[in-house]
Formats: sequence, C-alpha cells, structure tokens
Amino acid sequence: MDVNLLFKIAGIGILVAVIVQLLRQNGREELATIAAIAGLILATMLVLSMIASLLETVRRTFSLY
Amino acid sequence: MRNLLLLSLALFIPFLFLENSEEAQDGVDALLKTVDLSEWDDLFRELDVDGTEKPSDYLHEIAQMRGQPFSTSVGKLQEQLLPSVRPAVIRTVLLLGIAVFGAALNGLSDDSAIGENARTAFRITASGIVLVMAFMEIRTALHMLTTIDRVTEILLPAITGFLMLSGMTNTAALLPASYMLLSELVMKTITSCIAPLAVTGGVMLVLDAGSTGKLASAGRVLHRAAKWILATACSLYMVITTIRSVASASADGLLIRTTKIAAGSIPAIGSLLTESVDVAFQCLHFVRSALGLTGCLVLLLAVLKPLLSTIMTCCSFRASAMLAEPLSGKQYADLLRGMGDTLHILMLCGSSATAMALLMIAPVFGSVGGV
Amino acid sequence: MERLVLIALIGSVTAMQMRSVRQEYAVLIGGATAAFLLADTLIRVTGLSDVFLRACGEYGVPSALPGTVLKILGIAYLTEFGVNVSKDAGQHAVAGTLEIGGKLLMLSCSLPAVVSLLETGAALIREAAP
Repeated sequence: MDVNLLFKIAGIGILVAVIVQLLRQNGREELATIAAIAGLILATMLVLSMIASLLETVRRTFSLY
Repeated sequence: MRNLLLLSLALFIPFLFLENSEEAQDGVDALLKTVDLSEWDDLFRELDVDGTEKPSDYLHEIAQMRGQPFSTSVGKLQEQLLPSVRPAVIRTVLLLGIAVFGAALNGLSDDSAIGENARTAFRITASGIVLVMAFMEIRTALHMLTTIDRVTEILLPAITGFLMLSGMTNTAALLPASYMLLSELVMKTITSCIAPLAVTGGVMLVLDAGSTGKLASAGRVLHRAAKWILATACSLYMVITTIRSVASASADGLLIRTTKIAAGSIPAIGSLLTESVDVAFQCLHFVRSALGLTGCLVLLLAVLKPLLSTIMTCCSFRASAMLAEPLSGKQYADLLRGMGDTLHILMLCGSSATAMALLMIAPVFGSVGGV
Repeated sequence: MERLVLIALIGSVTAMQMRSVRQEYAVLIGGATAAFLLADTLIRVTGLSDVFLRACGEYGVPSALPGTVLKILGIAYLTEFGVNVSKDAGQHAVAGTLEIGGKLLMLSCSLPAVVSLLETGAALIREAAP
C-alpha cells in the first residue's frame, strides 16, 4: 500500500510491452495477445488490492458499514 | 407554605426592631445559619425545579450576598455556576465541526453534478442535527417560563396574608391586582404569543437557511415581532405597576426611588438583560423586609440555573455561527444564527419575566419595616 | 502533505509514460494513485469522525443523524473518485451511470433525515404553542 505498488504496475506494463513486442517479431501473435491479457490481469489484481484498502478506510472513517 | 410564612416571620422580626444597623445584618446572618434548609428543598421539590442539585447547596452563599458590594456577589455566583461553561464550549466546537464538514464538500469540483447534490443533502441533514440539539434547550427555556409563573402564583397568597396580618391593607389590596396584571399582561403574552413566535421563526430559519427566500424572511419577521411584543408588554407592565405603587403606598422615599429606578429602565430590548439584573440586584439591596427578600430569593433560585443554561446555549450557537461564516459560507452561518436568535428571544423572555415578578414583589416591601 | 504531492506527481508522470506504450496501464496507474491519495488523506480524518459521533451522542442527538451526515460525505467522495477514473479511461457512459447511482444513493440516505427534521420542527412548534 505504498509507492512501490505504482512502480510494480509500471514495471509489469513495461515488461508486458517488451514481451509482446518480442513475440510479435517472432510471429507468435496469439501468444503475444495471451501475454498482454495475463499482464493486464496481474496489474488489475494489484490495483484492486489498493482499492480494497481504500474502501476499507472509507468504511471505517465514514461508518458506512 | 405555613413553614415559609413562619420562616419569613422569624427573619422579619430583627428588621422590625433593629432596622438599618449592623446588628440587624449580623442577626439575620446568624439566623440564616441556623435555619433548617430542608424546608427550602421541600419547596423547590414542590416547584419541580431541576432536581439534580439541591438549592440548599448554594443558598448560604446567595443569602450572604445581601449588604455586600455587587462585585463580590457576582464573584460568589460565578463560583457556583461556572461548571456549566464547559458543555457550552464543547457544544460550540461540535456545531463548528458540522459546518467544517459541510465546507469540506466545497472541495468537490463545481462541474461535477454530484457536488451540488451532496452539498444540499449534507445541509439538510446538518439542519436536522442542529434542530435536535436546540430542542432540549428550548424545552428547558419554556419550562423555565412556566416555573416563573408558578413561583409567583405560590408566593402570592403568602405575601398577601402576611400583609393583611400586619395591617397594611392598601398594599395587600394592591398585590393581587399587580399579580393579575403580571400574569395576564406579561406571562400569558410570553407563553402563548412570544414563545411560539420565536420557536416558529427559528424553525423557519433553520429549514430555509442561507437563502433569501420567503420562508427565511418570514422567520426573521416573526422574530422581530416577538421582540417588539415583549418590549411593549414589559414597558406597559412597568408603567402601570409604577403608577399603582405610587398611588397606593405611603410616600416613602425608598419606595419612590425603587420604582423610579424600575420605571427609568424602560428597556431597549437589547440591553434588557443587564437592565433587569441591575434592577433586580438594586431592588434586593433596597428591600428591608425578610419576606420580600425570601420571595425574591426563591424566585431567583428557581430561575437561575435554567436561565444560565439557556444563555450558555445561545452564546454557543452564536459563537459557532460567527466562526462558521468564513469557513463554510453563508448557509451554515445563517442556520446556526437562526437557532441562536430563537434562544436569545427565549432568554430575554425568561429574564424579563423574572424582572417583572421581582418588581411586583420588591416595591411593595420598600416601605415595610420602617417609616 | 509533501509526500502526497510527490506521489501524485510520480503517478501522473508514470501514467503518461505508459500511455504511449500500453494504454490500459495508464488508467490502472492513475486509478491506483488516486486511490492511494484518497486513502491516505482519509486515515488522518478518521479520528475526527469518531469524536464527532461521540460528541453528538453526548448531546442526545439520535445516532442516525450524524451517521447519515458522514455517509453522505463518504458516498460523495467515493463516487467522485470512480467517476474521475472512468472518465480518464474514456468511458463517459460508465462515469455518467456511476454518477446517477451516487446521487440516488445519497438522496435515499438523506430521506429519513429530512423526515426527522420536519418532525422535530413540528414537535418544537407544538411544544411552544399547545
């Protein structure tokens, strides 16, 4: 729940971009698409964990329950 | 009531023989120390005064105030009543907090439509909270008005009976007429006309705070009407009582001085509180008779705590309105000031009713025990 | 405060970078940054709301009212966050629907408060003028 998470997401994004580029050069289009989707899911899960902690804080602060 | 009469007789006798001398003061003081204060507790229980603190706890202090300079009396009074300041401060901070939370919503950008809705919804809910917080205090103030009425009603037969016993039939005849005037002109007007106007105006101001719409201006008009009616009723009462007292009492320099002070302070309504307290304490100083003193003391004690709590709440609402103005804009300031104005009018009602009742009791006894 | 501004700057710049590489990551980074900033700010405010609730309870205000007040605040901020992130991703339809949902939720929260406000006003007037 700190700045490193942002860099992790950015790192995943760059990694995925590189992998997709490599796979496309080698002519494996479908693998490239699968890698892109996998990277997206991973990053989204990370973001969701951050949003979950945000919702928990909001629930505690405003007693929304 | 019979005990009250006996107690007052016991206090009166030294005055009769040793008026205006140091021995009289000392004698009455010594008598007060030996008086059984549980009598007073029964009386106050009968009057249904706020039962959490017995008046006998601070009765000694107040009784010692006679003959002392005004500042000492006020100092002693402050000691007893200062603990009610802290809740008022907390209440001010709480109201201010509501306004600040409302101001936080101004942080939502203006072009997001949800900001407007959020602000409106928040203001309405905050109005609900403010109204509920003022509810208990308004109820206390209204109860105080009925207490004043009942105290004067209870004191009246005792005082009249005593006057008849001591042969002052003129003043004895005057007193019920004064009381009728007091209850009809002042108390009835207050309880059935001024208080409802004030409360209705307050509710209107809270519902429609901040805008210049019809409801808010109607509320303001009601408040102004309430203040005007109060001023008129009190002035009328003071004038009539003065004329009657001068006509029916003996030409006592003390009596005329007392009633002149009373008549001279036809109130500008804003300063009515200081005037009435001033008048009340000056009357207390001039009153010789123990029965008059007893009546005044009883009335003051019964009324002091609710009046003070109303004053504190009014001050806290007004202070938070003043502080909220720069922080969260006009709406919240108007909301809080509306309730503050209502409590202010109720406080004026209470203090002027007390002053009128004291004026009914005190000048009658200006001439007793002397000339 | 400085920490928050720094994080906001870093997040925005990183998101901008990712936009040229893979666009969806820009939205994710933006959303994560905004979530982090909001959560960090609210943590400091938690104490205030507790004190507020307790003080209201002391003065005999029924606990539904201050609870509603805080709920309205929370719904407003959350909806604002979601709408802005959706708009960043270019999905105005989603943003608009979320906004409507937020408005409806706020109004339905404040309805009982409106009713109780009117009831208290009527009770006061009835008390003063029997």
